[in-house]
Amino acid sequence: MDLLGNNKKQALPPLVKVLWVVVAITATLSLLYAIQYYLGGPFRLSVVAEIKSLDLSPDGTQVAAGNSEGKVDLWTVAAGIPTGVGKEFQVADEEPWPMRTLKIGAGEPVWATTFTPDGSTLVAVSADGLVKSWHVPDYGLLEEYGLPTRQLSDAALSDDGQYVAALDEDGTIHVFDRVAQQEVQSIGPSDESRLVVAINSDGTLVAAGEGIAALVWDVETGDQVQILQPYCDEPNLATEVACDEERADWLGHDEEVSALAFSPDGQLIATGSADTTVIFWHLDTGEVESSSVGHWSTVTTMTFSEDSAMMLTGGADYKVRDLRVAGGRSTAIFEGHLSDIQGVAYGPSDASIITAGDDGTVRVWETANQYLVHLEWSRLGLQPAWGRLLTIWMVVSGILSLVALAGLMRTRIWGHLLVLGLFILGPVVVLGLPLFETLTYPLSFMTKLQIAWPLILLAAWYIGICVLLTREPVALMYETNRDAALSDQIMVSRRTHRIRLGIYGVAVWIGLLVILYSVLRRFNLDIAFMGNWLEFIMQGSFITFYVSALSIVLAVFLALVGALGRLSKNPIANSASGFYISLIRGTPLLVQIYIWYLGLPRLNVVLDPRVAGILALGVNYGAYMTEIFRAGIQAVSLGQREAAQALGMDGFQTFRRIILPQAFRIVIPPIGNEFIAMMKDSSLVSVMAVQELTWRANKIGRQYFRGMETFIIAAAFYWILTVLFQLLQGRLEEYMARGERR
Amino acid sequence: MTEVISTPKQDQGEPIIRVRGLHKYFGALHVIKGVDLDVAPGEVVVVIGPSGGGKSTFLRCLNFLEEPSAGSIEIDGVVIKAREPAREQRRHIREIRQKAGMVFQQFNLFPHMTALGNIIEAPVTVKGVSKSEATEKAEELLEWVGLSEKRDEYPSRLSGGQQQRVAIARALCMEPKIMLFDEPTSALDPELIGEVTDVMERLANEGMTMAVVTHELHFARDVADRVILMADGVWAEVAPPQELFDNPKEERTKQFLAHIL
Repeated sequence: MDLLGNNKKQALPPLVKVLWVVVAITATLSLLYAIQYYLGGPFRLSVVAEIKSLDLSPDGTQVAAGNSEGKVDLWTVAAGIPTGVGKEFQVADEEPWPMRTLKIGAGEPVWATTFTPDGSTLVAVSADGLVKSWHVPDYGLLEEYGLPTRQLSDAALSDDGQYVAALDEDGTIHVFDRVAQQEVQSIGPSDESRLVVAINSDGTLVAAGEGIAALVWDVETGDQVQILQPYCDEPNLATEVACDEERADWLGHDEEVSALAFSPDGQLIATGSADTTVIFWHLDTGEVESSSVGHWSTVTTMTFSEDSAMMLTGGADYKVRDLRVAGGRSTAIFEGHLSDIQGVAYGPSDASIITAGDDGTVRVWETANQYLVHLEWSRLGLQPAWGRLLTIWMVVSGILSLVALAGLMRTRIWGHLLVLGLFILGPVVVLGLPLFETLTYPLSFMTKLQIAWPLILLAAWYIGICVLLTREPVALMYETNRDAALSDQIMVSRRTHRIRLGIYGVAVWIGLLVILYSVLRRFNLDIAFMGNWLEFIMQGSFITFYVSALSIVLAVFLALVGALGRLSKNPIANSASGFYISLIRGTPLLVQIYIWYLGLPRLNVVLDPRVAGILALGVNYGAYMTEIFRAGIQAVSLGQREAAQALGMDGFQTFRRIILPQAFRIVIPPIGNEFIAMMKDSSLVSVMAVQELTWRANKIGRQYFRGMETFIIAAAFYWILTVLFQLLQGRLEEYMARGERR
Repeated sequence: MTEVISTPKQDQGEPIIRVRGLHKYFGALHVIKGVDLDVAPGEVVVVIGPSGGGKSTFLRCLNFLEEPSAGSIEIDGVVIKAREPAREQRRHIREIRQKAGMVFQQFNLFPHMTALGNIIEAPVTVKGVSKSEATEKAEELLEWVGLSEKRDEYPSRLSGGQQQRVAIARALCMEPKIMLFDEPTSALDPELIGEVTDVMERLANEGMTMAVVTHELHFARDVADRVILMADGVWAEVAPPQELFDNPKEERTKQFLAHIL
């Protein structure tokens, strides 16, 4: 008979029927949700609208933010923009600003939003090629202009709102006169990637990113007037390599230009890039005035102060920097946004700035202490990424539920396990992460609940299924086939039980990882910074591993010699070995490392620090492992030695062929243990400037005052190394124990 | 089979084992109190006696796993005296160990080697026999002890009786002149004893000189040429088996037999 399933009708416990129904409902609803979501249906997890452009009215009473859904959110600031009160932001203390929403286009992102200098008109451009203007106090629609170009990947407005620069999908730049409703210039397509377009305040110049360079054209003639591209400080050197050799500076971007701005005084143009730098160029010469580093990811948006002396930049590292154009030093960093920054603006006075981004919030910051003083949501909700993740999860959940349902119908164990795995792991990962993130929002508890209730409901539903699955009648039903032979039933039951424990185990691990992740998020970690330096620190893990591996080889050799000495009847060998162990175990490892490091050069022995590190670690661990080897050798029974001797083997042959292999099998687990300890103690050789994980984490952490971030990366890699090694160790032990298998 | 287990072709009158005045102390404890023994080639000598009587110690002294405190031992013409100069003694020990195979109560197979590996280990490392030659001989021996199909098994997967038979084959592969058995069946379950004693009996029939310490009186009666009852470190009685079992002369022998029969 088929062990795992038969098609005979059995009387089903009512609880099992309930489970079927519940899983069937889950499958249906999940798939329906996913289908209507992708068809643009009305039911969706409430997510924020990503803000793509931002402007403040000249009198400082209106804030306009164009979002990704073709709407411009408009806040009226009756009491004026707060200028900071020298304290941390508290939601409860703040009155929300009155808000209204203006619609533009069919739901494509609003790339540019601007108030005219007289404050009477608001103009906005959407990605589907619509330009609208509204009369400010009452927001009656003034004009609407449908551009001939319908798919814009970026757009910019001149300060007076008259000229619109639009970047086509094929890289063509069109300049339109909004008032005359006509195209004034078109600059042909490009093979290079053009991500961003900008137009100067009076609409006479237009600029666009061109790969790692940027080009500036005259709007009237369509002629290229300037190219901003990398060059060497030394005029005769044309390549980066030659420039480096002469120790001159190679000025320019390494990666695509992703943000552009003309200075109000017409002297400079600023470019931001995916290489995280901002560069100020002289518009008339194309030479670099200054450059600025400090973002840890792509620079996404920028704006000059009115006097052209300062600049605000926002990046995909969720940070906003205020920097001085002369010299490029930042004067302030504003941290707190939950996603990429898409709009920055100076407040009506020097005391405040306004920022907005993909996290759907508009934030007002006090410049002096970088406190958040006001926060508005374009719409309350989760981050858009979570909404997409949830929908993907719904598809997976729906399909897997159907499969599981098929398994359940035929009482197959895999159906049962699939349901269990699905409904334990799913909520933990897909619902756990966004739920924990909601907790970090600067909102009142009730508002958080308002945002997160669908997730909580869903989690509760899944947990309900899991509880149902673990009820005894259901579990019994799926553990074994009641008609099978008893021995088969027991075997299947045991296996099912084991797999189920495995699933629970994985779920608990992942759950704890999610909690760990959210706890770490609470530290306000600079994720973009971590991403930027991940590779550099990761390279240290190779060094950590091979330093540890070579050290353990040396330690094993020394431990073997030491153990033989300890076991020897020769008083010299015995005492020498005892002395070695006593000396090494009696002094701290760190002190030994310093002595190796400082002492060897005095003997005119200048070793590579890695070699010195391996010597220090190997000698130290050799002493500790001597005892392990001694115990291992002694644990081989006397009978083995006698048997070998009776066969005529001499001492060396006996040791080499009989004792050592058996001793090794005994000491492999403790050696593995020591190796794991050593991988972590190898962090101490960072004081010798061995460029392993800890050294790198320390160096970068100190340089940028981001020790927490770098050490978390290092810790993660130590952990990964340890886990990998444990897997390896299991294999090795299995191999060494081949004679013990039954 | 004769080419596998070499039978001594000596004059039957010349003993192959000659023990003179053997004493053994463990600290102050006098375990063997001066015994003499001559064993002729092809003879099977079984030592029985109460526990603690020194039987095993005596046997282990024969190949110097225990160093005798006084006396001399000659095996196949190699003489070792107790308290010889160390270097000379070491050379002699090596020589007699190659002439005397030994089988232990606890089998003492090497657990990290297969049955075949156990058997060829000593010929290859000690005698320098080529691996293929040793393997050929080992396979013959495995067949002789009836374990051909177990050649690649590790000892942990063999029963006690099978392990002991591998141990016998291992000792034989060194082509010894004599075989020493130290309670070879004591660690075995009763139903497994037969398979080991059968092998020993066949070995005896092929003319191997054997010294056996055992509690298997049936084996002693059926196979031994001479039985020695050892008690309190001396020979209590030495006689052919029928005589010793059916018609013991000494009081100590009667006591012992009364005790275990």
